[in-house]
Amino acid sequence: MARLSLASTLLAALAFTLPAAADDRTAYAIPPGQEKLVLAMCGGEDALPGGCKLAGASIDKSVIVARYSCKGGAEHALELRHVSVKEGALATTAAFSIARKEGAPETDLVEALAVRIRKQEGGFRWVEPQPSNVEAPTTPAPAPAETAKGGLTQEQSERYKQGFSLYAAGNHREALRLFTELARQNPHGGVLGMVVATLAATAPDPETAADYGRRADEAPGDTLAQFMAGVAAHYAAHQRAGSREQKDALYTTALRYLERASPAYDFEPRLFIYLAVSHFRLGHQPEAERLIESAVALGSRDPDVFYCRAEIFQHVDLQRSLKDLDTYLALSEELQKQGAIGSPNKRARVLRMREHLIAVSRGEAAADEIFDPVSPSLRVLGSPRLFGLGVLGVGAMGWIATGIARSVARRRRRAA
Amino acid sequence: MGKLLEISPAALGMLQGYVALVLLGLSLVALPRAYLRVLEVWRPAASLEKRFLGAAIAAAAVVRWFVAPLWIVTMFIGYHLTEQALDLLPVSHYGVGSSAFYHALFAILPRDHRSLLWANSVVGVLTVPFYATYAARMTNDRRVGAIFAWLVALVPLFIKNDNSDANHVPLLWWLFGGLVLWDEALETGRRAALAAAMALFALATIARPEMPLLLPLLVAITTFARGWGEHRVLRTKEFGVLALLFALAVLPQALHVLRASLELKSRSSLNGLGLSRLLLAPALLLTNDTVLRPRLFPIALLPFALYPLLDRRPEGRRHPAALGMAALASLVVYMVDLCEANMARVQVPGALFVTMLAALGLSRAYDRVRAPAYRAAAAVLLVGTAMPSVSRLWAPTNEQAEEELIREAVARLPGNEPFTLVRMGWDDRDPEKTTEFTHYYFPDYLIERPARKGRAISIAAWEQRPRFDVPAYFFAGVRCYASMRNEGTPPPPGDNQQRPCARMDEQFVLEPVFEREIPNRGDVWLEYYGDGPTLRVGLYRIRPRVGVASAR
Repeated sequence: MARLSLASTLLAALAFTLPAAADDRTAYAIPPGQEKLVLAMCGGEDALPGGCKLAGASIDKSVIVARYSCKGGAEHALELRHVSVKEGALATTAAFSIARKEGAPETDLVEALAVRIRKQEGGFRWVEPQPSNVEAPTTPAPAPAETAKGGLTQEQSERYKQGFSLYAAGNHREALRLFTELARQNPHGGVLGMVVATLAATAPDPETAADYGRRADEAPGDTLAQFMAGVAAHYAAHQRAGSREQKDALYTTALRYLERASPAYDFEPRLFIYLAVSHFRLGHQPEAERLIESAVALGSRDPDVFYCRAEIFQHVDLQRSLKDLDTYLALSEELQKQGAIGSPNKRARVLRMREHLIAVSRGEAAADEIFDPVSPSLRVLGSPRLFGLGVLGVGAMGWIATGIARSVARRRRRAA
Repeated sequence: MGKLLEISPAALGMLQGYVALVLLGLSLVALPRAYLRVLEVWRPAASLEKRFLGAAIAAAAVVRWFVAPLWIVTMFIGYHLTEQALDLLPVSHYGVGSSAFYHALFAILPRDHRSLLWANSVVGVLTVPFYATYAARMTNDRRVGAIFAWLVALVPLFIKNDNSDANHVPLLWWLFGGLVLWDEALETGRRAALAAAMALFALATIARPEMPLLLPLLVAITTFARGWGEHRVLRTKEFGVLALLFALAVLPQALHVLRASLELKSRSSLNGLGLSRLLLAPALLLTNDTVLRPRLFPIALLPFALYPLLDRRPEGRRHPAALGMAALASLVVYMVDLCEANMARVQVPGALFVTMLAALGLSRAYDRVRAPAYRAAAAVLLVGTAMPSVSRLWAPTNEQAEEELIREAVARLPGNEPFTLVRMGWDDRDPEKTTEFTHYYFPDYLIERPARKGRAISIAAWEQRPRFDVPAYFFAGVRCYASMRNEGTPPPPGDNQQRPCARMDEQFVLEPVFEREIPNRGDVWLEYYGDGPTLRVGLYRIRPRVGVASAR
């Protein structure tokens, strides 16, 4: 029992260890969900050479740092990096290179660690961050030519451009059809991002989202269908829900389908964005924080990642949220200069949000819902109370109009 | 038209919502006016007729509010209708009218399908004066109106319909209120009555998809009954303006229906429309007609309904002909729905017009047949032929057992704490049988915010991510044993337990909060269940099996 709880503590510590600083040059990233495996590879609770034991481990986007307490109170730290990083390597395996971080670890310890890793690394996944070349329609979307080539064949790249032209021309349904077909052949190279952008542009309502859900349920093995059902439910909640309850139901649905798209789409930052934001909007702060960092790791050039992180941290670290909104604005501007499609509306909205958050930080404004409000016109229809009041209001006006019409008619009759 | 069809479903839904808001507001003026017309029509009546009508309304109220139970009709769809009424958007494929009416009522009533059932029950009684007045005016005989009121009050089909979640109930209130006002406008030329009628007609039209087709027919038939070309009010400028406003108000509904039917047609899911169906109409009227099924409708009313149609007296032909046309039109329009579970609900308007004809027949027969023995025999015959429908319409079903189980489960779930309730959901469907409609609707609104702090999820969703950070419960209802089969297919052997429910038992420890062995009442309306004599149902606390790691 004691073993189990110690392991759980280590696992929890590992799962919630968040990167201290972003490294924009990250070549490979570690997708979430592998904490247990990492813990086992690094030694678990076993005794290691030199009287060492694993004291803790953390994942810093693309590096695992394992700390060991050894005989005589000595402490050492080792880094496990992608095998392509050769610099300072003490040992290598098929997937990792092991380097010294702190202390002076014995060769025996390093060798024992390499042996453990070789035994278990078959189940480990590195992911290559995708070029973040697309955004939801309200944020800038860089032109595909320079960025979409990664992973796409020449023919696929041509179709990507064709789809992007359709999207830019406002023919979202046709663009969605094209990108969906393309994603079935190759979801990499920014294609999934364009599926998201075009799907969001069709403004799915809850009914449409339910249709996507039905299609996903009918084909449980179709990862793209699960992903699209999740994204559709997320946007239906954000844009079309008439009440908080309806939003909650749709975000719950979004999570269900998006989780089914993982781990197959773990390379796609958007998957983590929607998972993180859906969790946050359902009140699951720790999950949201963990997932948004995975999105940052995979899409550090994606302005929306920072916009979403600003939303997630607004109640726990307001200064960080403000900094993320600044990053969003700076990155958007930079991408627009490179030829991206800009969204003046979203930029203006983010500026207003920034002002609001500053006012909140000074205690001059209440911390209202600014990222995911129910639109006023939908709120009237979505709330039985407001709707009922509206009905009574029209009824009262009808009675007044009837009274006026009667009195006019009476006067006319008298005059006649 | 193509451009109009391109309007996004979300924008169209919003437009429909606001149109409904305005029309419901106007109905607050129009309906009282319609009741004033009822008083106007019945004021000169003999006191016996007035008392006869008053007693019919009282009988309708007593039977509906104190005798008959409030039941969700057919297979769990009432839970879905309630959910749609709570959310309003997206607009139900039926239209927005009835949903908007319930939505407004939820401002003051609890978020529960029982509220909706009660609303229908009250509205059903409130409609009786309109039925009586319309029948009296269409036949120029108040006695026919009063007889019709009695028949509506006591025919089991109508009682069951009023005490159900059928979205026809408010529609009929608005439709017959509108027809009463339309008749007033035709007779008196009052513009205000015309305007009020138009508002109620528009509201009725946006409540059901078939109404854009049926309503003009019924209005034309009513006008025909009152004499074509004799109404100056229909030649006024005001009528033109009101007709235009009506058309604008119902345009979103027309687009909604058109779009939905095009979509259903593209999926080959709308078998009820098309020329071939129309050519089959006479045969379908005989085989798939509620009024021709003795177990749904008192068959003895039919000879009385036919009697005025065969009456050769020249002065009595126009009104029965009009009512006959109305009955035919409303029965033909509803031939789209053919399963008996739906027939008992959607063919109610057609059955109402047949009953109106029967009321006329009874009134005429009463004048002709003076012997008390014959009159008594007719009454006994009517009551006797109504009995099979009583036992059929209120036959105990597994669905009723589920409703009671849900109530018990809700009472036993945590009141003030967050919890998860796992129950069968749409993603638990057998992947092999996605085209058949086992209905998994569940009243999530009884346990989710703002009612409680629970969260309802499907078994598939739970299996994907079991969380024990809050208490988790599993509701094993009759849906654990339900899987729709084609009509006429024999039931599968045994209790027919569905795989997702069996998996819950295998993967988790299920501690009963309560557990029952209930009798399997079988396939009363649709082919769903196995032939096992009992079903094990209940509410269970879910615990992880030792050695099975949870996501938390």
